[in-house]
Amino acid sequence: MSDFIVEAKDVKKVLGRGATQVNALKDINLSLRGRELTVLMGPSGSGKTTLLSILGCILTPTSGTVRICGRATQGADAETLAKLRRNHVGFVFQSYHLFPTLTAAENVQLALDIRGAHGEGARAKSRDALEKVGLAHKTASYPHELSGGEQQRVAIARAIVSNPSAIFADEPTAVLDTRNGQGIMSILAEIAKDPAHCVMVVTHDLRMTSFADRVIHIEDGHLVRDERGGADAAKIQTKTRAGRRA
Amino acid sequence: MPLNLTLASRNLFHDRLRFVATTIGIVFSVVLVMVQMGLYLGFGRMVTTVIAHTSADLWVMRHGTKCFEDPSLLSANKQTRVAATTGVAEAIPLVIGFSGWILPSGEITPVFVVGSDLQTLKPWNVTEGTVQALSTPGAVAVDRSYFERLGVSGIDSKANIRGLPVSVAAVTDGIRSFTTTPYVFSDLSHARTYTGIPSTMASYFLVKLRPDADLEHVRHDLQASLPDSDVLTPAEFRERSRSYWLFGTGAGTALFAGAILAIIVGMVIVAQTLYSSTKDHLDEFATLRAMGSSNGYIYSVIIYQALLNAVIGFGLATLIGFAVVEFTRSGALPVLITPMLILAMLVLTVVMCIAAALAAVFRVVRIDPVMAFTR
Repeated sequence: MSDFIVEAKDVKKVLGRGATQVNALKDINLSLRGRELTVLMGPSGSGKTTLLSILGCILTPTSGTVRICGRATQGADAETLAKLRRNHVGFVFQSYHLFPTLTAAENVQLALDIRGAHGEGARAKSRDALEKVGLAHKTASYPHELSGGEQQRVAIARAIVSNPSAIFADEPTAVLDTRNGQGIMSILAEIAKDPAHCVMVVTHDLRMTSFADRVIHIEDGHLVRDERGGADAAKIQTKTRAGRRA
Repeated sequence: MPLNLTLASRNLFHDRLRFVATTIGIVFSVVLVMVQMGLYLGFGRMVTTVIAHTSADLWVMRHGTKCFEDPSLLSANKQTRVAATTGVAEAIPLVIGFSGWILPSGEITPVFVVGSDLQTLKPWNVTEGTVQALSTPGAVAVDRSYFERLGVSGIDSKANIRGLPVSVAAVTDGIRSFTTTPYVFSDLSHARTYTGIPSTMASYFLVKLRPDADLEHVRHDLQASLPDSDVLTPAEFRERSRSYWLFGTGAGTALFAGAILAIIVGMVIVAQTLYSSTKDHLDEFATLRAMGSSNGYIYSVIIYQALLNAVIGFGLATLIGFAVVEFTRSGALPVLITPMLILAMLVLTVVMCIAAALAAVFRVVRIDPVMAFTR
């Protein structure tokens, strides 16, 4: 069995139809393993969010295969994909997407509730998750009572509370100042120390790469550079490059 | 409280203006349906109230008689045949008919005279005087609610019916006629005089059975010996009268049509507000979907919202319904709200709100979790 949590092989994604058709992803080969924080970088329209959506089981590839914890997403219907996300994935969104009418603790608990975990056990887990992100004192606060950085930390707590194998964060620091942005990245890096978790962060911000174990660059739907450990050991995927040349 | 219910209730109460508008819509709709159905029930009870207060086992009437107030007459000599039928203990003639009540001022107002043996059918809810006093010549019973119309003020008040002096010997409370023509109760012989029905005729024969008699058997025998008559149980006669007045006249159809319109209005209001509420919360539902929520979980939030709307709207509507009952209690047509009607209205309100939620559910079905990344 593979030791990768997420694997993408020869993934292509075509969006739209006819004149508006776009090849959003082209021959993507990528694997994410535990105890690794991967940063995905690229210009606007390069396919970052599409790749995140496919790896996070929100979209299925037009061709190629994606496996998460050994389960393929190919041909899965919307409910099956939702179940895969429920069982294996946690998301952190750029604009937090907290529920304004729920407290911080309830927002976190919601991630458990949709998984069928209710009651005092769920409440205790929610408090623990908020404690991990340094918000034990804000459990009863509503989103509008929290700063942007605090809201994003609640969103991270919501993403990790169900102990998913893969955590995907889409521009989690984009609307935060440097100090708060680094705070968020520190939390994500801390989560990524656990061998049971892989974390992938989409960002434009070069400063955030200092937290990464691995930095992947994407342009025009191709992975163009894959750097590990901050070194310049760029590994342009041979197969992908060959595909581009073709 | 389950978290999906918490989310539903907070979403519902978060936008107070919309919540108030929705509640008003539901209350309006439910009150309208409740009052229409209450009128239907009240009307149904009112048109059969005399039958319901008669202690006969069977009613014998001219064939084709449509309702209690039907002026059809039977030949009085049938009384002997009825009484001679095996199993019959008594056959009591009943006389009914319209007449003219002459007030002391000389004005004439129509009345509906009911004359009987004063045992099998007698005025009920007597608040002044006694039923026994009606056996004295010229003694009648009238209802308190018609005092002004009849120009009387209570016991011993005087008037004339068809030129014959009458005196109020008993006063009832709540015996109202849906035709608004006051009932006047008297003994049989005087009722014949007041209505002009001769002693050779009767409106009905009220049949009382012997304790050991089989009702169906007796009815069969009576029907066989009186082919030009109908022999009905009280329940059958009530149903015949109710059907005639409610559906023969179109009154019931109008009430039902009003109720159906009210249901449609209520559904449209709830559907519109739930749909717009769902649209406002699409980002949240997309986030839930991206987090891996099943469609069922999202539906539960919407359905809970609909149910909360239903319960709150129903509760307020029921309170208003009871106020309407009180307000119309002494009116010409009281609204009647029974426990069964309340239960039916609760079920109807819930069904209406859930059906209205379907539009919102269909909108959510099409939600794309990718929205969570793009907003």
